[in-house]
Amino acid sequence: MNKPGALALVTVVALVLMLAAAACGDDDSGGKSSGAVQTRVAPVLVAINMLDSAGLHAIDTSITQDGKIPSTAHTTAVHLQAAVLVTDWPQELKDPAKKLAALLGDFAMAIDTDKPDRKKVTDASNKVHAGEHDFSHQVWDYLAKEAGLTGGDDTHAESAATPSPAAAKIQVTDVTARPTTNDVSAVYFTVKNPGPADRLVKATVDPSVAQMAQLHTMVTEGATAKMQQVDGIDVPGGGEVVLKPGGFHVMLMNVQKPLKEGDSLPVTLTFEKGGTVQVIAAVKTLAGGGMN
Amino acid sequence: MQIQHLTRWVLAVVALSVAAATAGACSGDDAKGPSEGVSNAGDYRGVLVTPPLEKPALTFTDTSGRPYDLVRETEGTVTLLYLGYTHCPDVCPMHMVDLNAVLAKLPGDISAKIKVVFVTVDPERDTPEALGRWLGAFNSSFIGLTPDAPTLARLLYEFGMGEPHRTDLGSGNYAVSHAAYVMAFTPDNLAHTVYPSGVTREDWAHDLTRLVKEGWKPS
Repeated sequence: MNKPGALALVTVVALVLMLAAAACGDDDSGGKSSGAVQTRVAPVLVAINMLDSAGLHAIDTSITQDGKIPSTAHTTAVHLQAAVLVTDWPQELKDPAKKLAALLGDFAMAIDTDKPDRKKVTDASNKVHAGEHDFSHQVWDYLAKEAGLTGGDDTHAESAATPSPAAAKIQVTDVTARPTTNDVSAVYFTVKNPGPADRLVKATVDPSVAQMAQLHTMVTEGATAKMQQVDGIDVPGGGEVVLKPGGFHVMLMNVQKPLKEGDSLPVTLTFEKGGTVQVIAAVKTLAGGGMN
Repeated sequence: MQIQHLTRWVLAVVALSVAAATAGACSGDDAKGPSEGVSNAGDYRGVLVTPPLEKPALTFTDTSGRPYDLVRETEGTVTLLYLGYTHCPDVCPMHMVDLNAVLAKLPGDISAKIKVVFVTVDPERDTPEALGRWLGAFNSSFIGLTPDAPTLARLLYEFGMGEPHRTDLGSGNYAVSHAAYVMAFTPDNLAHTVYPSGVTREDWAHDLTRLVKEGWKPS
């Protein structure tokens, strides 16, 4: 099983346990019964687990980096589209679900020809991949809420590597990666944090992309500059932190295949309080000194 | 205006403050922009070095495997010297991207008199061939030089960079300490100004045009 799939399964198990625990509490206080909660969320759990572990990441990587459309891609897209359409999503997820189904449909159509247009297929695949990540976030936020997890008590969410409601507030934008000129690269982005102070503690990429990813900074001592690994990068409450050339960056090492301008690269960021955030880095040439 | 007399010891402080000023140029009225902070020697926008750095009289191996006498080969040019390594993910490629962009924007008669020289501080991984491949990704006219161990030690000593320093990153990967700035040598074989990361392309273009046209001529 691929890593995202395994992660999703662990998360499902954890949430089901939490739901059960929450339901027990409800029994005592005469609230909603465990049966009602589970009946309502069961189809959501099934569908999101299927989406999260369907291998969209691997499909997108194969298309974007190798220019190869996996033989299973079309079936996967069609099945997922059907699953998204038949699932009885709660009201707040109905529209996002429709959008994702449309993206899956576009993708299936783009590859269902004798001579697929590479640019079109890549674009559709990137959109499905990113769209699934976005949708997954919203679904897990909903499930966390159903499980009775609130921003003040996110210890369970953390251990389950699930974004808690607080995490949903962290926004990561302008995610870029440097094209490779050998087997290293750097990823840069902006983290906006309207919530309480947090800390970026880890960045990971699929080992098929790069075998190691570390948080680094640049330290200048006299005439010398050097890179240094850091344990974490503080994100001030109500503020932002910018990872940019000449400062903080995520260093990728042992990059497995060249990253070229126009490629995209999924990155998972882990925040101390906010849990994980999935982002897609656009590979492009970055300059240090901008034009003022 | 008087030339501000800086020693190499305080250069780092200036470099840092320029970087900080660049980063925070918009943060308030008190923050000096990069050009304002270092404009006290004839309107150069790089960081002044007093006494200037001397172009090292050393011979390296170029990317085609031939000996390269730095002083002789770069005579009469504005030589932009940087000490870095190709497994550097951030600052080294950033300088190369910036310099390539700046050179592309300068008029041909100016850029023709500028040489970009990249000396690797990681000769173990950066063979002439590997260095040539890496530099070629930015600009095929950039000159890549590999020093032998004594030459590297001497080079670092002359620039006050101390011993080559390695940081283990795990799984056979390591980082190497490298230059904090690009040095601009004028035809007098001295670098009166250096350029830390964060210098804008406009400031680069401004100084390079002057250095090529006039050599070092503080007003």
